[in-house]
Amino acid sequence: MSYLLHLLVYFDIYLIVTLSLNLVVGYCGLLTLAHAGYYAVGGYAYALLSLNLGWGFVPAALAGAALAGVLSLAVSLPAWRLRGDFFVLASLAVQALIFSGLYNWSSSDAPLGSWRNLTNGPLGITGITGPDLLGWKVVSPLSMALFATAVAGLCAFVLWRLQSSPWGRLLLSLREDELATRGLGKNTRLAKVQAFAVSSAIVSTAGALYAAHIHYLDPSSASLDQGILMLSMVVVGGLGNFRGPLLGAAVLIALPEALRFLALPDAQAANLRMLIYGLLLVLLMHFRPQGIAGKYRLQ
Amino acid sequence: MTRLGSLVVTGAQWASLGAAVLLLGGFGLFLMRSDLGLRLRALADNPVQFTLFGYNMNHHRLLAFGLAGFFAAASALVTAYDIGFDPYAGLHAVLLAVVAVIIGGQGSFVGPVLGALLLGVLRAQVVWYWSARWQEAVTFGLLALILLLRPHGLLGRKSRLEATS
Repeated sequence: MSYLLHLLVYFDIYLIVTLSLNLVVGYCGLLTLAHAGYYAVGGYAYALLSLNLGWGFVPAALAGAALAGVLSLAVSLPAWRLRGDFFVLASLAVQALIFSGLYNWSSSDAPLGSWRNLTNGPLGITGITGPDLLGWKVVSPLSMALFATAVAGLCAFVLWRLQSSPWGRLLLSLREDELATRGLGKNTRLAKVQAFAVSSAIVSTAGALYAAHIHYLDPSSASLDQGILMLSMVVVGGLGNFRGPLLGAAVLIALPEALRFLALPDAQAANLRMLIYGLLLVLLMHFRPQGIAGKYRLQ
Repeated sequence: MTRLGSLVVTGAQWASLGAAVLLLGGFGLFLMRSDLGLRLRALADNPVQFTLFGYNMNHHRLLAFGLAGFFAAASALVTAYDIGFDPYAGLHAVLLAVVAVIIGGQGSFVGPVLGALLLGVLRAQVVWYWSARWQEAVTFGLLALILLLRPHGLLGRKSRLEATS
């Protein structure tokens, strides 16, 4: 039972991730690899604020969201000029810089959280406190699952209202033809900055939720593998609508877990699982390139 | 192992230098002088026009991917002979190659070679003067700088980014 609840929390976390990534990839048409970086920024902000300053979940997550929103300028300013492959590379550079920052901002002779040893480097931060809400400490697996579902529902609601608003339509028209949208007198550069800020702020909440759930955080949550996993969830599920990211997160979380129950020989089980997983992804992209429920196909 | 003054070069390093010079020289000659090389460059320049002249775009794409795989495998062999290899080394090598191509300039033959040399020397200098843990930060910081200030690379042709994407 607590295994299923743990999976539900995971699904909630990745639901926030995919829905916010969809705002950038599906609605603006900008493929970004830096999303994992902002996810980790939120996690680290929560971990440090709650451990060192004793902040609760809500203020710490909000502070992390504000920080990620400001840092998102690092991807949204290149998006003014760069498109296509060049933008993907710029976002890769941002991801690598965030990762190196988290990995290297440490020194062994200073206490954790001081200015010289902010992230504890590759060792990561241990003993992160669980979430709390208005004095209620979330401890049991069931209450954690309820809490994570509530947070994911709130984020999904915010994104749904934004995407069906006139601002969401502006992003769609920007994706289809940026020059024409500018010709209509819309400020597309401002719209891109806003979209990245909203998306990064929301994904940082997912990072805080992850840190609070696992009680441990290390720089690998900002790694390129993580960024590619997030991107493949969105692309497998389908871009540009609300069902797609939901399905993508569900499928890519359930698939490796379901493969656990296949009776594979123990010695090769992990590698065989990865093989089947990769093969299924390749087949899916070959036969349905727009994703399971996608409306829009990246060029 | 040979010594050139204070420089120590191992046999594996000589082998990789020789392989690189031989393969790159052969590839450059093939691209610039042979008929097939001309067709591949034409495909890169304008695929639609290329198809209109009656050439099979898909066949040539397959051939280009085959050639890319051949050269990647050659460099992997040389790497494995020198320092060994594991299943996760590929992604990192490709990322470095992409950074080198962007620094040197797409669509130029000498550009990526120059970019790769520059990147290799720079990464070694970072280790020498600073610390190995800042290697990645410096590499990708350089990528960000080049993309910002000179997106067509050092030797690439200048073109509007909107047109190429």
